[in-house]
Amino acid sequence: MNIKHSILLILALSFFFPAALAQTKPVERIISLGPVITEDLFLLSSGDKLVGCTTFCQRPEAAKHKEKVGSVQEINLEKVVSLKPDVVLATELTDPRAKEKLRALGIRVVDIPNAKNFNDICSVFLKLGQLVGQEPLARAIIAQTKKKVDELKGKLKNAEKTKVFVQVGSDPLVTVGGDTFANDFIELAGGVNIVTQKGYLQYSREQVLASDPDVMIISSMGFDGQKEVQNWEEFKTLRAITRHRIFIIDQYLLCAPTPVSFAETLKTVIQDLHPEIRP
Amino acid sequence: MLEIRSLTCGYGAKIVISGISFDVKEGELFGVIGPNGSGKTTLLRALSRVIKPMSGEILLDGKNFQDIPIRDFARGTAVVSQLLPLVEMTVEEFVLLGRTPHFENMQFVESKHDLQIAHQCMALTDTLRLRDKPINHLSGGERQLAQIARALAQEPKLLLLDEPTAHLDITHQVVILDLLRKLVRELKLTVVMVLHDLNLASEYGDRLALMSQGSIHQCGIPTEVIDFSIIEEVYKTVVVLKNNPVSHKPYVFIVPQEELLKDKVRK
Amino acid sequence: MKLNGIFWLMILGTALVIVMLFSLSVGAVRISPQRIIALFFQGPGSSEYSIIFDIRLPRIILGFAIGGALSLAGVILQGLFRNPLVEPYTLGISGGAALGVSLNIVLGLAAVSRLSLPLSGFLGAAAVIGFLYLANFRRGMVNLQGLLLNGVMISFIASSLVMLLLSLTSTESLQGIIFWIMGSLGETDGTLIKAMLAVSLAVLALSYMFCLHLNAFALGEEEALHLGIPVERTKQMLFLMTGILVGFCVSVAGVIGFIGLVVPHFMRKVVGHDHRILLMASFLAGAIFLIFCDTIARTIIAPLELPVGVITGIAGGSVFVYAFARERGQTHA
Repeated sequence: MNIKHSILLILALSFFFPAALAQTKPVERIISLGPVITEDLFLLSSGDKLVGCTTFCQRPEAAKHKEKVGSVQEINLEKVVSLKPDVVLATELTDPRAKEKLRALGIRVVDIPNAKNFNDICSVFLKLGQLVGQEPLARAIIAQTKKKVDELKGKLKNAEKTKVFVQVGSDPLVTVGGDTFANDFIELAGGVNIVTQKGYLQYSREQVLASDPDVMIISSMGFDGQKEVQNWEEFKTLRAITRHRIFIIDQYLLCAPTPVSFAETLKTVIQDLHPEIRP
Repeated sequence: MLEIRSLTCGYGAKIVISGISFDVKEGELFGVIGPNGSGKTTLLRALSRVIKPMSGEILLDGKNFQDIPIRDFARGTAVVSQLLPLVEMTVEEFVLLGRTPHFENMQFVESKHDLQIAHQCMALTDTLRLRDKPINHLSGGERQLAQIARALAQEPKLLLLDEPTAHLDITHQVVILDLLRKLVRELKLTVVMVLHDLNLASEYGDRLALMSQGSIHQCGIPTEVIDFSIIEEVYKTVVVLKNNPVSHKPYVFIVPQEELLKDKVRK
Repeated sequence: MKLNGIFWLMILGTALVIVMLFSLSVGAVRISPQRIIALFFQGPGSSEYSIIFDIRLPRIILGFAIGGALSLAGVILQGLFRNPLVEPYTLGISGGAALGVSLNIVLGLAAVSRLSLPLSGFLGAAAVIGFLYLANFRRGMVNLQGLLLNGVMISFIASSLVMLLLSLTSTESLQGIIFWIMGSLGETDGTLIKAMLAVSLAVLALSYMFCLHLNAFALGEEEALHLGIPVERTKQMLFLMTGILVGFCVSVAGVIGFIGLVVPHFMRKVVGHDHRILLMASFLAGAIFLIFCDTIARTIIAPLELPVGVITGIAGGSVFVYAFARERGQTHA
């Protein structure tokens, strides 16, 4: 390489170096605007860097003691500014006005996309890992989870497909279809969702009775889960009721999992769907 | 001063008065009388520009009403109506409102001159002593005098009144009509008033217009109009006419049915 | 008596400054008034400066503009209709705006541009104003009673349609619509805030051209005519002015109730019926009231925020009931 090439190389590097530097500038003070992000951060050993989170961030236990900056949708801008964060991690539900204002005030806001299936969880988790400088740890956890999931899938090779109904809301009755976690759990656990459309939809009890699923999974929905189970038990013609195949799963585990909790929940769902398999 | 030519007015599609033509001379006290429903109030509302003529015209000092902007009109003509909605203001504030047409374009506050005029008008109507009382607390007669004061504060040349003596006791009736006469004689005001009381009209009016079923039945000095056959024809009731012993103006006596029968029996 | 009016305006002006300083100093972080002044001279850089001048101050300016505007609209409408129960939302303008915003949220248009939300609110409001204008301003005559009735009907229809949308839509949209309807001074777009302030002050200035007209109007339309007031033109102008003003307010901040009803009513008792004082007094009092309520709304359950409409409703409603009860007691005594 001659002098000219060296100079060009130095020029090129000096262009990208500050930018690259900015990207890899260590992040010491983080504010999370979503419960999943908060949980993920703790999994990435970055809980101590978390200076603020939402009132919805209840897991893990340590998150409850962090400073609260608002709900998932409504952010108290003053609180955020006073906590002097290096980065604010926003979700798709965050008020866009708040994000705009924070950026206008010179605060770095990173949009963390909503994960809709297992692959998404892994890519989001990796992105977070890179952000907080814990990429190796992130990769390790992902690899571990994938291994577990594959193991579990292996056990299902000869299991028959069970018909499943998942309920995530009552009054009105809401179920989930494709492109959601609950659906992912069902399919990976060797089941078939009686609902074929995508996303969250309103459903009627009649439709459930008509489909007569083998298994019913009711999310905890705050504390109404138990009540819903009791409601369903009135319908003695349902297969799921007569065979006692109706289960309650914590709503956060079912709908907003981290890589670690995903594997755990999958195990639970498999047990619910195929009691004969010992995963 | 005021010329009315073939005036036809009504509400919506309904015609109430038609073909009205008469003059009001400057400096005269003109009375409009007639039975209920004859169109007196409608006529006054046309003269005060609340309703527009359907056909015909009204000329004020030779100028057509349509050509006079409403603000200029209010500087020369004031109206005293019968009913006043409930308002919460003192008599002084109320009378001062009469100065509104005279405010300059950017003027927001009353000038000393405005206050002076308002006080003069209140003095004239003996309402100065009531100046700080809320207008809702006045008696009927006092309120009517306050309204006249407000109208006078507009410094009008023409004053229109709609039944100024309705619901008032004879004291106030006389006070108000004496005041109006004084204004006409001394300040050269022109007054057009609608009256239901024939005798008051006869007593105080310089000229009268008797309306019947939407048109003018008779117009002229009281002795011409208050004639017993005309009255009986228009009001469709038996009356007896005599002259007021003091002023010698015609006075209408009603005849109760009882008396009629007695008379017939006696005959 | 005139002096009395000026005296009150000075008191209100002082109260406004006090409330603004108070509001500037409270929040997630307590910052004393002395510190605020120091920061002002220091200039940007610190997070405290940011909090005061980039977050709290715009909010207070918005509170000033909207509180004043709603109160002014209330005073004008009450004077126009000669009815103390009329308030800016009686005419259905807020209903139209709410419907516009709900449609926008349900159809997902907010994703296109952040300004589309206030814009759709304003279009909804404008549609109502246009309809009312065409339906009631015929042949140069304005039918006030008809205007009121139409307004109330539109209000009902609009809220029913909004509820229909609420029942058919997904949860996220639901929350979005409800939050918007409940009213909030959280708008952050600088241009919108400046526009609101400009409109608010402009209409205040314009309304003074009609202060004498409104005084005369108290006697009734006919009497006002006799006093030389161009009654039809006055009704048209005042209706359009308040319509546009309220449309702006609702588009920027949602439905913040009670200010337009309670504050003018109260000010009428305090400073009297002369609109030359009343217009400004209501504006200032409305501004003070809203800034104060908003301060409570954003601090009482911090870091969460209560919708400011809740506070104005409770505070305004209680004051109203109390004052009314006292009045009844006095007349019976």
